[in-house]
This record gives sequence, C-alpha cells and structure tokens, in this order.
Amino acid sequence: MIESSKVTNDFAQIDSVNCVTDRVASLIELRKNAVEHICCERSRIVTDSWKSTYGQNIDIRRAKLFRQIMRENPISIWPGELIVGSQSQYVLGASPYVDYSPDSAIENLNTMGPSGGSSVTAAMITEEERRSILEDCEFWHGHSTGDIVREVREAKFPWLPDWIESGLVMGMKLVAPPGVRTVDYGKVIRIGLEGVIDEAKEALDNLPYETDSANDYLRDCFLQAVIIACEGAIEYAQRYSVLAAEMAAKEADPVRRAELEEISQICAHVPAKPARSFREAVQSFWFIHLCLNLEMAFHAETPGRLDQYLYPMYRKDVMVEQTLSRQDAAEIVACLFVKFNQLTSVKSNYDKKNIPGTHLQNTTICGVDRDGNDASNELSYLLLETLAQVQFPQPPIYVRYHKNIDRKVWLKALEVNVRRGDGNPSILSDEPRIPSFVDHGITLEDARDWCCSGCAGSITSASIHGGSLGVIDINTAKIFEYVLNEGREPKNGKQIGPKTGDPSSFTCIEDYVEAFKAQFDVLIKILVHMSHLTAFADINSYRIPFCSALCNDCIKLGKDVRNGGQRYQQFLFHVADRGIQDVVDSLAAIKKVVFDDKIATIDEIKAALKANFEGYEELRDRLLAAPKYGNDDDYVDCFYSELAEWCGNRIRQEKDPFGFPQWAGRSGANTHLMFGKVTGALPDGRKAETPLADGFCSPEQGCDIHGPTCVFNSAGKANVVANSNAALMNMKFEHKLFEDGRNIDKLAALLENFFNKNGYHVQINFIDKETLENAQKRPEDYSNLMVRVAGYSAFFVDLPTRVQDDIISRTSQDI
Amino acid sequence: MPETQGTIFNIQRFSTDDGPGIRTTVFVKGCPLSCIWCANPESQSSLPQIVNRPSKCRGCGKCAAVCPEHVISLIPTDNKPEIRIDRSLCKNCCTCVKACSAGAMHLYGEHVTADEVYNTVKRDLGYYQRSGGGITISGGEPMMQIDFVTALYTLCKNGGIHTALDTCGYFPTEYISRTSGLVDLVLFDLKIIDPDLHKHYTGVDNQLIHRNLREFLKTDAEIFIRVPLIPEITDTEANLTAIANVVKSFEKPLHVDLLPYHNYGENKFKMLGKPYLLSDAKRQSKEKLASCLEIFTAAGLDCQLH
Repeated sequence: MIESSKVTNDFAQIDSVNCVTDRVASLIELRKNAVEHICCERSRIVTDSWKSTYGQNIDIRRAKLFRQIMRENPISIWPGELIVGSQSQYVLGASPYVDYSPDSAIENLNTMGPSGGSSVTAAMITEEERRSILEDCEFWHGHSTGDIVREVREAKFPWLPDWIESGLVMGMKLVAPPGVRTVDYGKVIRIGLEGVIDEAKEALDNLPYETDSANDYLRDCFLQAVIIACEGAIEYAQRYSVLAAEMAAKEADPVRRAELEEISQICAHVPAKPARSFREAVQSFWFIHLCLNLEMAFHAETPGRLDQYLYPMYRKDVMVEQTLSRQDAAEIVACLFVKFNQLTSVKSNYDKKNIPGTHLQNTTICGVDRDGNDASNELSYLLLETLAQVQFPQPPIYVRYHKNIDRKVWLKALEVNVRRGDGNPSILSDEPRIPSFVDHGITLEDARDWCCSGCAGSITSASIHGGSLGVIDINTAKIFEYVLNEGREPKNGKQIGPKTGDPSSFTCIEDYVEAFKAQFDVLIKILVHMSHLTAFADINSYRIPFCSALCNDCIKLGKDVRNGGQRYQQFLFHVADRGIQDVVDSLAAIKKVVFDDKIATIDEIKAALKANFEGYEELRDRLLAAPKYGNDDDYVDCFYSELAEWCGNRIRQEKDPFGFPQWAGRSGANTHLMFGKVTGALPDGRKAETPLADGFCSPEQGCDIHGPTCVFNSAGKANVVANSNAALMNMKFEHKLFEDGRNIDKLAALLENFFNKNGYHVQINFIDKETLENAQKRPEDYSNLMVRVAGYSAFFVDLPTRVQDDIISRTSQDI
Repeated sequence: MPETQGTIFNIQRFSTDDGPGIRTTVFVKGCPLSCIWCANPESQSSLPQIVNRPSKCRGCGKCAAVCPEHVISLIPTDNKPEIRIDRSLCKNCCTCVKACSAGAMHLYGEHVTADEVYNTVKRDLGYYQRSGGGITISGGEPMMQIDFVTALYTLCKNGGIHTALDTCGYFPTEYISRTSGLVDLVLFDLKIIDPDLHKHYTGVDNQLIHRNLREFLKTDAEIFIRVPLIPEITDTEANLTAIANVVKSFEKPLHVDLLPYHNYGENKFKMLGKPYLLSDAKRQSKEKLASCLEIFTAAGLDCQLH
C-alpha cells in the first residue's frame, strides 16, 4: 500500500518539463498531416454480426456485435507511440454508425467530409469502401434506431415538420447518435475489466428468479451481455499485445524494439487487470475510451475527472516511489493528448454544422473531492502544462473552480488560458453546481463528484446524458415572434403556439412577459410529451452494454444505462431553452420605445420587423439604443433574471420519461447560429437570419459596451443553473491585456467574484479580430490557429465560413 | 446639504492601468493644462461639448435641420457629407443630439451628482475587494472640481472602497488638505522638468506642480509618479534622467509608472475641430522602452512599464 504520509507538490519542476519531446513532436506531425478517412470495416462487422444473432435478446445481440468489432476491427500502432490503440488502420479514420442512422451515413458519403471540413474526396474513401458502406446501409434501412424513432415521430407528431420549418425546434439532431457520457474509468484502473466481469457474474449468480422472474430474465441477459462486452474489450487489448510483439520481432532499432516489447507486456495486462503503474493506468484509460467509441460514438466522449482517477498511480510512481521522473510522466501525458486528437467520428450533417472538428472530449480537473476537500493536485498542474505545450484542440479542459482551490493551480489554469489564447481551459464553478445537484436529489458525495459533459454541461461521474433520448433545443426568440403574432409563424402564417392576444391591445410590458410565458407553457408541454413517446422506441432498439458495464449502477440494477440502469436517470433528458438574451433585449426595447418614450407603436415595430428594418432605419436606431443585457442595467437585467429562472422552473415542472423533473440545458455549441438563421427580425434591433446571442449568459454580440464586470454583474443576477445542467458564458479579451502574464491576478479576481455570485461557467478567448480576418483570407498561413466556438476548440480554418464570421463579429471587451 | 454636482465625460469599469487591482475610473471634465499629446482632449474644456462621430454618422443632415442656432453645416465630400459645428456659437442645447437616432451627435460632458456616480462605482465592490482595486478619479484635472471629488471620495471611503487620484499636479495647494484622509493613492504626473519646455508643451509653468508634489509627500497618501512617454518630447534621455533625479531626491521612495505613447486621442482632436500636432509620432519600440525603464532602475527606483 502507498504510504498516506506527506508527499509534496513540486510545481516548479512541472513548469520546466518539456512535453514536446522528439517523439511527441513526430507524433504531432503524423496527426497534423493525416487525412480524415471514412472506413467501412465497422459497418461491415456490425452488419454481419447482426445477421448472425437474429432472434436473440437485444442486450446480448448488441454485446456480440461489440465483441465482433473488438475481434475484427483493424488495429494499428504508429511509429514512436508509447500509448497505443487506434480507431482504424488510418491515423484519422472512422466508420459511420449505419446501425444507428443509415440515412446520415448516406448523407455523409455524398456531402462534406466526416467531421465537417471540405467535401468528401477520393483521398478520404475508396470506391470499394463506399460501395460496402452503401450495401450495409441498405440492410439497416427501415429498422435502424433512427428509422424507428422517425416513424414514431411521423405517426404521432404530423405537425412536427411545421415546427421545424418555423424554427421553433431543430429536426436533424433527432437522427444523430446519442448524447454525452463519461464512465467509471477509475474502476477499470483499480480492479480491471476482470474485476468488472466478476461483479457481473456475482450479480448473475444472485438473481433470485422467485417473484420477479420476467425481469430477472432480462437482467440475466443484460449481465451476460456485460460479460461478453468486457471479454471483447480484453480480447481487443490482447490483439495489440500480439501486434506489438510481432513488430518488436521485426524491429531493427534496439531502443524501439524494447519499447514495443514493453507495450506488448502492458497490453497483455491492462485493461484486463488492475494497473500497476502510471503508464499502465493511462494505457488502460485509453483502451476503455477507444472501445466506447467503437461501440457507439456519442456527441461528446467525456473522460471525466482525469486528474482524479489517474492520480493514485501518478502519486505512487512520481511522488512516493520516484520510479518515474516528472519529465517522463509529462511525455506519457503528451502522448495521451495526441491520442485524443486522433479520435474522430463520422457525424450527421446536423452535427457537422453544430459541432465540427475532431471528437469532443471535454476533460474535467480540480474541484472538490467526495468529502468536500480541494481535489486539485500535481497531476492537475501537469495536465495544464501539457495543454499549454501541445497545441491541439483536444482535450478541452474544464477547471472546476471552488473557494478553496489551490491558488497555484488556479492561477496556472488562467496562465495556460492566456498562453494558448483559444479559450482552453475554460472554467466551471462548484459553488452553484453542487447545491443545485443536491436540490435535484443527488447525494452530496455524488454531487461533489460531478464533471463536465458536453459544452459546459454537467453530470455526475459514470453517467450518460441526453442525446436522441430527449435533448430538445427550443428557440425562445422564435417564441417571442409568436408573442408578436398571436401564436403564428410570421413567415407563413401557420398557427404554432396558442393565441395570446393581439399585442396592439397590450397596455404594459408585463402583458408581453405574460404572453411569452403562456406560449412557452403550452409549447414545452407538447415537446416534453414527444420525448416520452419516442424515448422507449429508441431505448428498445438500441443498447450499449460495454458503456453500461462501466456506468453507475447498471450491474447492480441489471439494466442498460439507457434502460433504467443509471443511478441518476434525471440526467438522460433535458430541454435546451435558447435565445433568452434576445427575448429580454426585445422586451426592454419595447418597454423603452413603446411604453416609456412613446416613439413608436407595436404595430409600427411589427411593420419594421416584417421589412427587416428596411426603410425603418431610424426606428431600428431607437430600438438598438434601448438598454441591453450585459451592461449591469437593471432596466433590462430584471427581465433576464425573471425569465431565466421562470423558464428553468417551468421546465422542471415537466416530468421526463422516467418520471424525474426535467432539466434545462443551456449550452450547445452553435445552436445560436442555427436558430438565428431561422428567426426573423426582432424588436431589439437584431436583423433577420443573423445569429442569436450565444450560450445562455453571453450578451448579444456587440451589445456589452461597459466591460466584463458589467457582463458578470448582469449574468450574476440570476441563478441560471438551479434547474439546468449547463449555462454557457463566452467572454473575449484583447490578448495584450494579459501580455507577459500580467493582470492574471485581476482576471482571477474577476472570475472569482462571478463564481461566488451564481456564476457557473466562463470561457475566455483572446484572439484579435485582425488575426481572424487574415486567417479567413489566407487559411494556409494560419493552419495552427485555434478557437473555441461556444464550449469547445477547433482549428479556425476548419470551421464553416458562417461560424468564422460569427467569431469575428463578436466584440472584444473594450478595455 | 445640496447635492454636489460635477461634470464628467466617462465612467470606465474594469480599468487595469489606473492604480492597483480592478478599478472604476471616473473621468472629470476640465483641465488647466493643454498638453499637445493629450489622450483625452475632450477633457480639457470644463464645459460640455457636442461632437459628431463619423463612424456612426449616416450623413442624413437632420442635426443641421433641427439646430435652432443654425451652427451645423454639411460639407459635401466624395462619400457622406462631413458635419461641421461652429463651436463659437453652439449653446449646447443638445437638440441635435436628441434628433440623431444613429447616435453620431454626442455630448461630451454631463452633470452628475456624487451620489449618482457612487451608485455606479459601488456595483463593482466585490471585484475591488478581491483584487485590491477601487476608484480612480482622473480627467481632466479632478482637483478643478474639488467639492465634487471630495464628496465622491467621502462616499467611497465610507463604503470601504480604495480611492485614487490621478492628477497633473496643477491646482491650488490648499486643496491637498481638503482631500487629506480621503485619498489612499495619488497618481502624480511628472512630464517635463525643464520649465520652459514644460510651459511650451503643456501651457503652464511647472513650479506649482513641484510644490504640490512636495506637499503631497507630507501626507499619508501613497504616491506613484506617472510619466507619459511622448516621443522626442518627454522620452528624451535628458528629461527622464532629470525626472529620475527629482524622484530620487525625496526621502520617501516613490514608485514610478512609465506610460508608453499611443495615438488613441488623435481622432478625438479631429472631432473637436482641433489640430493634432503629433500625427507622425509612433509608439516607442521595445528597445526604446527598455532604455527608458533602465534610466529609472539604474537610479535605484521601483519603476514599471505599462
């Protein structure tokens, strides 16, 4: 056992490590030069497997399908690698998930590249591969999960296309693979997959088959599925062990030969058995992470609290036994960071627009431990230093701030943020998060063990959330259009929302607020009801036994994580109410122009909106000049705090399909662009089809003119995460403010004050406008330039032009 | 007691270069100096002034049409017309400002009470407390509105807010005792030591400034010396060495801030219809700034570049 007696953090030594060794530099080059490839192997394997298991229990069928992938999917070890495990025979290659949505697979083959870059080229897929995938699609067509859910929806919600056309909700997302997850990686490091198998066997042996035999049989099948899936993952690692040994035998360089032999030994041991060293812990983690992705990619594959579950082995090797130098530990971490950037997925067209770039792997560090003590440690600090040195978009690191965070680690996080200049790491706060989780029925210990999920979202560790099960983005700016038009879509006059009265008869601004609430009230009920009707169609056609094996408490409950096995099922569903900043700015503009200054009537404003302000420039000026959210002005902020909290409470009144209060979800990468595109001109002066305000707490673009303290003061007036799993806030500073590390302490003070006053998330960007404009003109000169688009990083030049334009137009904080 | 009014032209939140920590800087209007490099030329006159912001102006001419004094004219150009205001006749009635929906007609200077300003300043109290920041009154010359600034400082002191005064040093010496105990930090400008050159570039003699500095040294207030580095005017080796010698001559060790040149004020000169004489000047090179810094550090002074 490790002595619990004192070990000391040596942050100074970490400051001087070199993460980008020659080995790491060549791995970075390999990744940067890689062409993203669409592969056919996984789709062929799953199709063959599915045909061979006809008639068997669904959990078992899915487990066998996964085991088949583990046995047959191509494996590769790249030159110089220490941490091994590759998604395909390419450095960057993924298969479409034909078993989930053959339609999006077909879309992909015909349109732009796998993750949203340029269009599919011959370099990305061979003719043979394309034919093979299309054949598989034909098999799945009509009985994939995507098809089944769509059929239900079409039958029960014939009016849904009108809603999508209007822009109240988005349609494409519903056919994409589900959500965000993190699993209990630490458990595999501690007890190995063999330990997990033992747990499943014990549970199997203890099934009573007395009074609830029907369900015991289903549990029996699930537990068998867990065992099959875990055995599959062990086989997968064994294949790497064999491959490494074969490569070693052929290797001429004695240094590399020894490395390959060591890799072979490590892969023979983990993830089957408990890790014995830091390197084995990292290798074990990577195998699990990769296998989950091969089973089914989620929107985001969240490693969770990486600095927590890797720490025991780090502490043992580096700090107690000192068998591993900090420099060597840094190289292992850097190798892992390169690996994160090799994980990709073939996305639906919706996701390519919404979350382009390599696979999103939000990683959480710091925060408090399960007892409430500061959990930041030397490994947290090393992960930050590695992030600063290895200039890749993945992993986006989220630092969990809390009152007692180690100040050195906290300032390091901000320093790295400035050094990278792309909003990574960004900051989340324990202060509003933990109490609100407890308020939603999560135990205090589990609430303290939360981590970042998708874009600044949050879940308890070893859980999944959202996805096609029930993530609904709802456009509240569109709802405000219904308020102005008696529930009708202004573009085509179709009645969508309830008739809340002709606004020309409204006598005060409160009438508008009440009409908005009445619209929201009716629409939210229908939307949540829709998720009830589709959820089980999805769950009953799709299972993820390997993921379930590693989520709380599926083995204990004998159920798939999406089928009632999750300890906190309330994380499975959320309703993302977006665009509230545009709504509150519109309310303030109407209050000012119509009721206070009496410059125009609402009918005149409606005429101006219809003309998209053409010929109404002066009226638009007056509307734009009205107070705007983000300037610490109570005239408008009162609407923000009222509606942000009211909408959250209203969403909470709905029950999700498992009977839990529904969460709001206030992030989502580029939803503000997509909703903006379908939203007409608004009374706040925003023109039709332009972006809405991003996130949930960021002011509308260019509207925050009094600096960051005002933005934070405005946002801090509402507890926006009381009923929400996320509340995204983007801030942008001129880089020169923080040049040479100065003013970091002021940045810290700025954030601390916000986090202790309702603040939940802040992402800080530092890039100047000129650089971005140049990058748009000459992408070839800026291939390394990274930015974060509302919650995650990507290479700027990879982004669609519209997203680039949006980033450029965001006003820098005027300092 | 009647409310004490002042004339200000800006309240800037999250100021990071006007004293320690996160600060709110209140800019008052009116200055006895008229430095040719002034970054805030709108601060020089103590009266409100109306300007036209070309970046916002659409050239519709409404301002000229509504002006009761007929002092606004439209000068045709290739692009939109240029707006000219005859300042000798403008009575600051603001009819044009109200009529301009685009926000191009702008009034520099508003009358406010100390209470009104304090209500804005105190909103950032939490940031001041965490960062060691507070309020800085700048300008213009705050001491020209001595009643207003003492009222505002009193409110801030009572509210637990750290107070700073950014001054050019040119004001009646007896005002120092009136701010005694109310000002925690003085940011005291030293520009040019040679009396003739000082008068030439700023319009006033520097004897009073030096006397006031010596007087401030007798108080409990902390003092930072601020030196604006103006190319070939204040940033010469001779002048900086002379400043360093003055600072060194005091018993109390004083911190020195060097402020590199910037030309952000240039377009404001244009809007005010004033000539800007430093159009060709550029921000000092890194090397030049390092050599400026070196003069002070070599003299054993605690000096920082901003």
